[in-house]
Amino acid sequence: MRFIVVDNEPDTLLLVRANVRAWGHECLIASSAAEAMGLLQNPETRPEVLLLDVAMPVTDGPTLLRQARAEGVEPPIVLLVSAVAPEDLQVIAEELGVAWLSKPFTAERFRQKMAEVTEGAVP
Amino acid sequence: MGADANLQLLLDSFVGIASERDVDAVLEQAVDLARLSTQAKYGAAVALDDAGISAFVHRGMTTAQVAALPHFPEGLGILGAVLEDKAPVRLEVLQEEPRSVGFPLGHVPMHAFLGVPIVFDERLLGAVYLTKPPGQPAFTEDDEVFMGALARQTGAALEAVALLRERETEIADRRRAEMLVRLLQVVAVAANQAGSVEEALQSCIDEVCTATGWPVGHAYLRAPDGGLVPTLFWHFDEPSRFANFRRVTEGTPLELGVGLPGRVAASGRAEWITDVTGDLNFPRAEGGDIEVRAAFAFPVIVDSEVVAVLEFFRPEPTEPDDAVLEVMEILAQQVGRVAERELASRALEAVNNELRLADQLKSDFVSMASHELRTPLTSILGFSSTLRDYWDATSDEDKLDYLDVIDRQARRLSRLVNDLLAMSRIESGKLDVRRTRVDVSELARAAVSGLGDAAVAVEVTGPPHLDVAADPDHVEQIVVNFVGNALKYGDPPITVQLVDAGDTVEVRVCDAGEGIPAEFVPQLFEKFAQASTGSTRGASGTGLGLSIVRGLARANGGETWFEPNQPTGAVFGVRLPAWRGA
Repeated sequence: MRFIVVDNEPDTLLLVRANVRAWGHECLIASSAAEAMGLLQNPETRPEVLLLDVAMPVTDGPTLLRQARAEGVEPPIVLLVSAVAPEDLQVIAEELGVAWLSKPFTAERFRQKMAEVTEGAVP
Repeated sequence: MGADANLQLLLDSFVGIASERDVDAVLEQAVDLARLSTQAKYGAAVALDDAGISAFVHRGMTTAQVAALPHFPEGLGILGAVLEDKAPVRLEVLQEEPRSVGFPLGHVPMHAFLGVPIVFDERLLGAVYLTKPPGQPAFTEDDEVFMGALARQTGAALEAVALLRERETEIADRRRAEMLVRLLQVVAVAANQAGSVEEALQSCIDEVCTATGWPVGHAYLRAPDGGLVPTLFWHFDEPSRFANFRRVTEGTPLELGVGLPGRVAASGRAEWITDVTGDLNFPRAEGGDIEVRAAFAFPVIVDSEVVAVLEFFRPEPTEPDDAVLEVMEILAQQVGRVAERELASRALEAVNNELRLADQLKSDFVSMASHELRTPLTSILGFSSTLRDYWDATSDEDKLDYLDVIDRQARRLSRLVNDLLAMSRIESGKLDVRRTRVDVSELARAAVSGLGDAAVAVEVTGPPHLDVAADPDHVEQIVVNFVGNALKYGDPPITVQLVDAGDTVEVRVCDAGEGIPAEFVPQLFEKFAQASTGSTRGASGTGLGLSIVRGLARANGGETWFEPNQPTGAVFGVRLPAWRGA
């Protein structure tokens, strides 16, 4: 399964990729919405799972997701991952109709969340 | 005339005189009856009140003859003799009475005279006089008896009229009192419903004009310099009639003490002018006809300060009415209370807005601080748990990388916590400031020597010594922050310029990088401004540096600023007070 993680914090990209690879899956990283859109639009890099930060400079995560939907390139599984207050994150995720994971999180919590949203397909 | 006929006349007179409601009419009726009964050609009567003669009627003379009569004698005269004696005077020849002062030449000839006092309840109310020309029979004793009865009847009628007058005055007074009370209520309601002081002033002017019937009302407002400025708040029954007065008034600001509004503002009391054209302190009447005569005005007082003067005018001279003035002073207090209430509610609203803003800022700060704390924690918690969970599956190289991330982010977290504490101290005013003589030139040179590296040299320009009055630790922190930012976000050449600006010393840190986007400049020194725009170039910043620097500069009596560098780049400056000696 292919993952794409979008975050402007390089250390977060590194962390998510380390875990996804440890589960034996492929993980592409994007540090901006523009970079991510390029990967989503390219048939060769289209992911099954999109991990998306909320607050990013230039274009934020929710805007990127709406643009992807408009272009018909939304991946089957989308998880909002953000350091905004959990109650705010929940509101944003519910508006978008996607799952969410609040920062900070442990490797175990990340694993559980992923098992939940993929119905056991991952890890 | 026989006794029966006299009696009948007397009875008729009871009905006739008693039905009159006016002093002159009573006297005229009495004189006519007397003349009819006695065949006297001429008759007259006077009525007295506390001040002297209040009415004087003549019958049997032409208007010209009446006009030619002398004024009722100040001294005795024959008419005065009746009043003085409080007894009838009957003479065959008028001129024989020593107290007679005679008549002017050419007036009607008079001979026989009969005068009887009008007495009621032992009080002298006036007298009735009859005279006949020469050649006619003198007045008889019967005449005198009849006249006595008539005078008593006239006295009763005069007393009835007086009582009626008193009653009418009472009713008029009560009506006026009711009008004033109603005015108070109307103005109180209008003032309380008014949305603003201006509305309250306007409705007060309108209601006072309506209630008093005075056709012109206007407001002067107190200016900050203490003088009075005319307003556009007016009431006119007929605007066109008072156009000139309006024009003159709107062109006449007044100093304290000058003119009616100036006087009212100075005394804080209501004032009344019977006729403004005769008033020595009414400048508006000096330029010709201003269509108004009588005036009254009262102050609107807020917090014991006169804030406005309301003035009212009518075109006829009018004597002061104390009751009206008294009510106007009460009105003034009511309008003043509306103004006080509005000022208080404005102040309260301002405080509420400040509190709301402060609350919003605090809540924004908490949520931003929370976000900034979660970000390094994500790496620390995430990588430490990843290492634990996947220790065996992780290469040694990755393990070292992950530990580096944990280390770096733990330091970031630590800096952030320190900055938050510093920020909190600055904002709560608990910052410890030890201002002393600091050679900022020397300090800047020492500070930058530890910052630049071989690749990026930081040059310091300006006088070798320049003293400021500030806390040296704070000055160093400011300079290090600016230079650190220039190294992190800007491009070389990076210079620190020291400028002697007289009372102040300026430290300007310049770089030649991309500069700051114009839309970001206003929030440059705000908390977490960097985080909210998400610069990716320096992840190590806490977003609090510039905000702290500004706080430090202000705590030392200085200020920070930003300006674009030419042709490109940024200039961050701090202005500090120059050292002026111990």
